[in-house]
Amino acid sequence: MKFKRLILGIIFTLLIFLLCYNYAFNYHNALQNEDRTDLTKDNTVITLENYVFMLATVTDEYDDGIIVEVYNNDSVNYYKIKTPSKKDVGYPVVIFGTISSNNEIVANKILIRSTSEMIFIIFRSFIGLILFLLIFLKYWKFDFRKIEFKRRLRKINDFPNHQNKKFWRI
Amino acid sequence: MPDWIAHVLVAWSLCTILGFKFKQFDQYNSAIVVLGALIPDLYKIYILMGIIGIEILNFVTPLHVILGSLLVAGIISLFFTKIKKTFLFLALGISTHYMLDLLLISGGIALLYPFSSLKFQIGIITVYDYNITIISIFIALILYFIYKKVNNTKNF
Repeated sequence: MKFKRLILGIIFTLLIFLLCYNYAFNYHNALQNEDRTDLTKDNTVITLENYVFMLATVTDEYDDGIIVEVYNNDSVNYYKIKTPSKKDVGYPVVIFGTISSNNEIVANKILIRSTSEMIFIIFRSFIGLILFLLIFLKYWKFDFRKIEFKRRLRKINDFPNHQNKKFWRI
Repeated sequence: MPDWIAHVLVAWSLCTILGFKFKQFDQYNSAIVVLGALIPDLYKIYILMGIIGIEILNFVTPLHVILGSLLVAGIISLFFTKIKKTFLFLALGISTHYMLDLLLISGGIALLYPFSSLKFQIGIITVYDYNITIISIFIALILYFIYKKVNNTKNF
């Protein structure tokens, strides 16, 4: 039984490694071969039909909007975003927009990515991790000898009809 | 975005509701479902690695697609006595995670990678939204008190 688990574990681990390697390898290949002037081929800019989503940093302004830079591993791409709301240079922003007929990005919504918001999300997730550990470890414990999780024994509270506390394994 | 509080509580709440009807969803198996709800976010280890200067986002991103999450669930289920049952409960937890993540506006999730590069998203909440956390806490509290009352009623 243990041998079977070991074999399955090795197979699953290999499959995960292959999946991750394939993604990383294809991702990098796509970056090297793409035409960077084509917005729809930029892997760092998400496009769905005419909709655009990107994480960028404001670098400059122009008459109709802002210019943003998007880092793409070893290179940087610059895009003009048409928007009436100007953001200060250096601000990290999240842009939701559409591609107009002349290949211009028109921003529907621009969110500022603030450090404090990111820290707040990480803090909430940390609380979530503690919550998970409280729930999981209340019912399961790890047997290091058999290298598997085992159910914890449960204790039945005293009830008026019971004289003694009893421990039940469910 | 749905943080881990939301993921944990939504998974737990779902199991508590199902537990009123199906005895398989006891608190032991609910804990496994809650574990499953966090599996897709294992890819966020790239944040910790990034702090020490190792960039692995491109490598670990597939953990946040269905196939990658199920493979991780397969490995985790090997550490339990009932492998198949544990895997199914972990898979349920994984599905609750993606149900919440599909509500996001974040460019979409390529759920079916490597079979398809199509990205899916409903796009209702932004990545910084915490209203869903508040709602999940509220629902979980209500369910907790109902669960306690039902259990106390059964024991007498």
